[in-house]
Amino acid sequence: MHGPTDEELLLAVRSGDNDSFGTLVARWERPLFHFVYRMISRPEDARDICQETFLRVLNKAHRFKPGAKFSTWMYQIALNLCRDQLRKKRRWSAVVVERNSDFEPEPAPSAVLQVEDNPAEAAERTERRQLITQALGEIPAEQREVLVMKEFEGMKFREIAEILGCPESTVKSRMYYGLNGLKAALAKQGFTAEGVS
Amino acid sequence: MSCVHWKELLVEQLYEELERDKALALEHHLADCAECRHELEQLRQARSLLSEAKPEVPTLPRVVMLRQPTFHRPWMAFAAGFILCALLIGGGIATGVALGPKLGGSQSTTATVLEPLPQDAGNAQAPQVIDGTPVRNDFVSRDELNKALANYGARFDERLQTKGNEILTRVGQQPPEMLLTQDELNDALSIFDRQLENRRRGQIELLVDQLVQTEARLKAQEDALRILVLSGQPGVRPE
Repeated sequence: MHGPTDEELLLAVRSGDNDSFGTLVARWERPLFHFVYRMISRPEDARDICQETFLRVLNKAHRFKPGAKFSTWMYQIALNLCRDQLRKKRRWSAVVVERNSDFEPEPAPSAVLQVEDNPAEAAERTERRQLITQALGEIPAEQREVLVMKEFEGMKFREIAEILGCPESTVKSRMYYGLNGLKAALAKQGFTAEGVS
Repeated sequence: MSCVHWKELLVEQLYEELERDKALALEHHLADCAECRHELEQLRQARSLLSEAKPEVPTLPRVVMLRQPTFHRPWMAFAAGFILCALLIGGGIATGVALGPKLGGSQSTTATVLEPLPQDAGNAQAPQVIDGTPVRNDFVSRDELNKALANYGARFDERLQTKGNEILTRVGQQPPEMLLTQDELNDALSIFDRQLENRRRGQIELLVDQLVQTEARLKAQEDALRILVLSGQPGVRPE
């Protein structure tokens, strides 16, 4: 990484350097937005949570423990905010129905090609995705968090354990039961890896 | 080795995070254990399904950071400061007066310090020194304080009064048919709207300038700073 580390920037923020805070925001806003969005799936809420996370980073910079990793601390703040939000609104299952109606996602180049070749296949893919997301909403929250962080965010088990503040073995165990729970939830709907039966 | 342990290794294997020696151990175990082979296959299928639900992330919204609004009217700050000082001093006097008799009448320190000095004491250019400690002689008396406050209030009232009189005179001189028509009122309001719009545009230009400068400074267009909106967040202190 070029330039000062995240931790050095945060120390500078503590001593009143606003530019360092700007650099931290620039460095982390995209990964943080991805993380939060994949946790709660609503762009407006994700935006608010990202903003609130950065505000808390700013206001609580003095509480950052020397030797700790900035990104872990930041993700912990964001995760707690996501949990509060989900607890408050209990939206996870509703998200499945709503998510395509309130925003147009930035299409990946491969997605554009797929959509263009066969609309029927694209519709089927969308339906599958909705069913899987719905099933994801049916497994316990602690397992879902691990699945999202691992599969969607590509974090290492060690990183996830640091963010959640639990042993790595617990993370792997949640991953194991989460994947099995997801498959069971899908099977109840007559859904298999090959398609809806 | 317990079943739980193999489950952990299966998960690690699924995400290719298994260390070499553990991978070898698992490989040997899988060769002998049909149940674990089945487990791994189930996990692979579940992972494949999960990966299909990976949400496409919408375009990252730009976030804008502003500093806390500052006090833009120095004269108001000055007036506020003056009034606050006056209130504090007045409060001190009132406390001194109220507590004076209880604490021993004129022996109250607060009341004594704020008493006006005799006129002739003002002639001394250098502060008096008693026991090596300079004694200040520039205190404002209660009368002077009241006079200054009354004068300030009077000037303020006078300006208000003048303005009010001007308006009343103007309205009074006009016959009813000469007052504003609905169209004139609408015109006046549209001028007001335009002025507001110009001001808003000016603020937006300022923001855009700020963003461009930030992006130039960071030299990273794709990671350009989306400055955080702090202005609407009470209690936020970038300092």
